Amino acid sequence: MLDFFDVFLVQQLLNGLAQGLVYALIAIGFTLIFGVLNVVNFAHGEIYMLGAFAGLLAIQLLAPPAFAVLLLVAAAGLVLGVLLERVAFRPFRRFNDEASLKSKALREATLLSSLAISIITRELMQLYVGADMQSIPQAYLLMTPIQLGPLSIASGQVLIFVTALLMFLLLQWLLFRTRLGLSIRAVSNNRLGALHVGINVNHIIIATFAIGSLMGAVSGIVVGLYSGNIFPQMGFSPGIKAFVAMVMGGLDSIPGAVISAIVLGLCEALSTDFVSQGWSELISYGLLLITLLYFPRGLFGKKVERV
Amino acid sequence: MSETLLELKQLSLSYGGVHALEDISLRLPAGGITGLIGPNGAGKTSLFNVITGFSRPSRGEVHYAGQRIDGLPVPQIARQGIARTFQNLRVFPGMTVFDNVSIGALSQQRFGWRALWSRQQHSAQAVSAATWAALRRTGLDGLAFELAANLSYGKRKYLEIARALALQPGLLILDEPAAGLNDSETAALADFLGQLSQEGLSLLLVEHDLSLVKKICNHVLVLSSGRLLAEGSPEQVMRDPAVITSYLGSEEA
Amino acid sequence: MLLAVLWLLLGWLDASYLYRLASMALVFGLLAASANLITGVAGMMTLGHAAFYGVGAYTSALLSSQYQFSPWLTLPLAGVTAALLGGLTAWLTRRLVNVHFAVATLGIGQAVYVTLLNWVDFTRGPMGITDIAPLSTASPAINLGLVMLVFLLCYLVLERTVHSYYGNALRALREDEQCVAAMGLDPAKLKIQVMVLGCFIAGLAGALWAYSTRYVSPGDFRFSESITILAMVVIGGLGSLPGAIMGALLLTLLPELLRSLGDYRMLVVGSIMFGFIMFLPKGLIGEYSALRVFRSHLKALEQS
Repeated sequence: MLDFFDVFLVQQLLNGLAQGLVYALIAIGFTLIFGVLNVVNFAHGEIYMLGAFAGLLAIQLLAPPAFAVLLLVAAAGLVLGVLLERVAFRPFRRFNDEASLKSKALREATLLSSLAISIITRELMQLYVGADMQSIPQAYLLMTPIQLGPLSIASGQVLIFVTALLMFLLLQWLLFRTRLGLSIRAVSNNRLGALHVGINVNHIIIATFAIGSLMGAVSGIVVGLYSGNIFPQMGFSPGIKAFVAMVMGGLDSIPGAVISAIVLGLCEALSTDFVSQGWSELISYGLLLITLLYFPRGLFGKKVERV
Repeated sequence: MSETLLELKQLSLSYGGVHALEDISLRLPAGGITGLIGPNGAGKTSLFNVITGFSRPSRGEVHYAGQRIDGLPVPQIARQGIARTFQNLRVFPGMTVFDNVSIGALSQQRFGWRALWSRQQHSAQAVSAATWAALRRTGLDGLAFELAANLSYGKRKYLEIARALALQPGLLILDEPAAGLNDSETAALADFLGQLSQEGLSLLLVEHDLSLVKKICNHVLVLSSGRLLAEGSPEQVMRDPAVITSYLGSEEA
Repeated sequence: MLLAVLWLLLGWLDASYLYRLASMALVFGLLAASANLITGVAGMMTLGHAAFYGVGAYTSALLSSQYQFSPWLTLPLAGVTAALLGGLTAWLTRRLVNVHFAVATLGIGQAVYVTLLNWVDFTRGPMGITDIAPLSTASPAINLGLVMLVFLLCYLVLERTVHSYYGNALRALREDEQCVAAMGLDPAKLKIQVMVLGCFIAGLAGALWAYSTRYVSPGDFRFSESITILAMVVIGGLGSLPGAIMGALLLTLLPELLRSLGDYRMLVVGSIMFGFIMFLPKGLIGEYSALRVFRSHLKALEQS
């Protein structure tokens, strides 16, 4: 049946899908945090980078089985998320009245503080480990090709597919089937209202950061295991792509962000047929501009500004 | 009936299958204070939003001073002479009282860009004159250089009205002006609104405080579930059996 | 006047390093002041200011080195190109919320950087453009004087804009867009205007940069430059024009004074920025106090 397709094209699409799912993994955490705080968390890309390094550290120190590495990184992500919230976000949440919640100045301060934290983290890592690529030990690399007829998929790509699917489903379960999820949705819908019905908003925000960062960190190590290289700047570009995906998806829609992220990945992979690697960066910004022009509320957005 | 200032013709507004307003037709005479009452969710704020251009009606027309204004952008409607305040007190908190009010004065067309671009203390006399006039009118001139965020709640209410007055509107729309004020503040506000009306300004206000409505309004509109239930003088309306069952009955029970 | 004293002092010292440093401080002063207009005063979070700066720099560099345009013609052209790009960005996001503007400027910033890097035929890619003619061939002192002149003109324009009634409208836009519309001013128009003016000045600053260093390369216009400019505004105090200039001075001179820092430059920028957001959110000179200084006669005049 595959004879009808251009095998090369299908291969490209598969690679693009894997890349898109990486963006999606980051975008999910990004969107989750934005939904609850209405603030862009610029340090999310750094959580992704630190997740990869935490994995490397675990491998170098303990050399555990691959599955344990993922668990360790997840735990590290959890801790990092809580820390990040404490340092860059909590100090600006002294007030819970309506005026401060709507205040643009406060939101800007939070955005800037996360931006500053992201720079500091990246630069510190660069000083500490150097700007060069660090390679993952051979034994842990997931680059074994798996042949599917004429197609070949790296085992790392399979891991990315599985992780993305699992995380997405787990998150949907968490959001729509558990008490914690209900509280998260309540806080992101209406923080004041949530406060009034007795939800501990602070705890929910911390939990959201923990969950979002956990996902960011795990995606960092998964990508690291697949690509074999990790470096302090690795969070920057995917972080921006995730931000773009979130905006394209409509700011508050996790499925929207996931679909947009996959679209970005596919378009980038396909564009390499026509333009060189360097230019393919432009594809996602082009898509962003088109979305802003034709779907100002995002592809799947529903948030409407009310008077 | 005197000259018509605002006229709504078969106005409807619906979003996502919900009918916020259905087939509302009415005429508002120039001058006087009109009160708009109705239970929660009756569509009072929706009606305000349609008149001021924040929402586009799904059907029907809005005419102001003889001109059709529905579908015009918000700023243009404001420049035609309809000023509004908001339900949840929206001043510019990070700016001084004077600067807040000057925003209202700015949009009057007769100030060229040279006046706008000059320093406050030099020319642009007209902007500052209009600003000071509005500040004096509301008794805020002593606080002109305070940050709006530092004002008390009651003062901020007046600031919002001052900003609207600086637009020199023909029609002033107030969304729950007395909400959150105590009895003496409400009484002072009633006197103030009465004075504004005597000076020739037409007012349209949403208010929950029915005694205030009885006291100052000479015309009352009753909305219920997006429909115009009754209109007339306060006494007339409050005797209307349909109004009593749908609204007053439940309030006073 | 301060500038004249500085100019004489530098002329007396006659050190080309100091000339370079002074023009760098002036260029970043303009960048910070224009970013302050957009982000501090009008509240539109720009994350790609370096793009407009870069577009200006490359416009003037290419026009003067490839097409032998006179520097004095390329200065306004650089401004206009950057202003067009800025106006387009604002037009795209004119009815959207602040996050959309932030992501659009971030995207424009990256897109410009990628283009400068990859369009090798036109921009010479990562090698950059060398041998740009100076503003005038007279002497470095005259050149610095000319940079000062342009700086002064731009500063006066910005000063008027920020402290006029028009500036009030921009501040109101930052505080509450819907309210501004209800007061009869068109927020979309204001956003486009402010981006056009701010980016025009950023483009001019880019041209001045190209003429004073006589070399431009994509690396000067990366995301980290945009963040440095933003940090200058934050340090000086969002919305405060003298603050933005102070912030620019601090962040250009400090790394130079602490030369041993080397690689630590961005770390210093990030840490200072974080420190200010946490402990001195109003910046060195807060907006309110800056406005009070500039409008001190207002009280006396109006109340008499």
